[in-house]
Amino acid sequence: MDFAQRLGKLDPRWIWAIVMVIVFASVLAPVSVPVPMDPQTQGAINYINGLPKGSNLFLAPEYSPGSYPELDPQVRVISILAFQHGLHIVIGDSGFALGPQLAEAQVEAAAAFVTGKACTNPGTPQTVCGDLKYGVNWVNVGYKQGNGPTENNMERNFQTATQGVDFYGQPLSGYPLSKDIQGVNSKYFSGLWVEDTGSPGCQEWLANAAIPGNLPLGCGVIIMEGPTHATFYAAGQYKALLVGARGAGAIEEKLKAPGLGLAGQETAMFASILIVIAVIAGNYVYFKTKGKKAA
Amino acid sequence: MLITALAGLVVVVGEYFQFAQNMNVLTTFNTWFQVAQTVAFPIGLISLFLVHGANVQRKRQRWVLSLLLIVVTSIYLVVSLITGPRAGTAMDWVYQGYISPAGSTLYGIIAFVITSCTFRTFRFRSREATVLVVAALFILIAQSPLGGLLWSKWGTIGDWIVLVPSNAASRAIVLGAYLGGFATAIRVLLGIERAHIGGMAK
Repeated sequence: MDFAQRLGKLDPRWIWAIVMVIVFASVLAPVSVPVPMDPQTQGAINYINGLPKGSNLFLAPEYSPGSYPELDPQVRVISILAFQHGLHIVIGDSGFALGPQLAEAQVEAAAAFVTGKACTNPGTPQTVCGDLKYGVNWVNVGYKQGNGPTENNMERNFQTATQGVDFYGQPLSGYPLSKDIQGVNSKYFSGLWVEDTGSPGCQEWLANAAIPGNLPLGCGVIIMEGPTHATFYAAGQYKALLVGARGAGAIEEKLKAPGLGLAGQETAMFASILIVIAVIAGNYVYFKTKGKKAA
Repeated sequence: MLITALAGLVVVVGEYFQFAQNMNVLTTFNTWFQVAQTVAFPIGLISLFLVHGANVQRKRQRWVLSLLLIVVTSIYLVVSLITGPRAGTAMDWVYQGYISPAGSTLYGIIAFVITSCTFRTFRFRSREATVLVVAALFILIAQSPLGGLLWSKWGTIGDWIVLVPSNAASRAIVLGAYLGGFATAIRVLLGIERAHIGGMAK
């Protein structure tokens, strides 16, 4: 049995072991990797900075813990940009029960970064981070089940669709930010940002709230979904598209706010190199053994 | 079938007719949908307990996993009902300490599987396959910082591949899928398609 045949019969656990070594090595000995700012990512920054100062941004974190390494950094940088621009954030989703909980932590982290003060009472309706305060600068209406119809209802009748309570079960009428909001539309909001991992996601929010509510929609997606959503971005239906942890990492670098987005880039880079090597090795085996198999 | 047709008609009328919009038909209907889906949650839970309870009772294959599911679900349900979604509670502890890491771990496994699969399946078997593999590798490198380090134009060309040729093909697929969806919706409304109520298409 020659080298190519032995390589062809390689136990997949060896490949998994190499991936594991790469992941561990990049965590234990991180290498600083520059993340270039591409026009699409710059477009996401321009989208937030183009919204009127002091207006409201609706943030729909349609994701679950499985995709948090890619989308948590996006929520953090979008929230940092929003707070720096003086926007107020209303968090709420209709499809992923754990999304608002994940987003709440990131919005708090963003508030702490912007003010330079640690948050007191995090994860409660009494959270205060410097001069940014829950209920005044952001509100989390939580997960309201129902997918598209709920999104449509939020656009038409916000208080009914959210049952008038926030993530913590407190009345929305008790917060200065949410007491007068009647719809996720251009009367009460200036923008809609959706974090997407599937359905419901950006497309559903586009059809059910952004178009009827006349709101510009920005969309953050995991890297695998980038090409799918590029269709809507290229057509102008999304006003911004942020892709993967790389997009978040580029904004982190620009804002000098290093976080999970930048931290994962060297792992992504080495994993990409490994995949290229795997393809070359796989094809070496294929061409070297093809004739022998036929014989 | 009649319920489906009526529900579909209400949505169509509510969306496209001004008088129905003035009457808030769609808002009311959407609220009904939310209520119906809320009711579906406990029904799903009852169904889960019935199916897995029967597995345990009859000691079917892997009944221990069914028992584990029932125990974990029951504990999490009771804890969640008592404490609610607040930081620092037992529910939050279960979420932060188990659900979140478990979900991330499952997602992380993809990296191992993808690397292994590229070794086994990404072959230059034909001209078409070669174009596909080369484009995939190009985009992969463009999406990681490696592309920018190798060549400053790598990302720009990667974006062009995604936004122009890939986009054109993707748009055709999406349009085709939506046309198919539209045709199916018409068939459901007219009662021709009955698979959703356990029947056969005419």
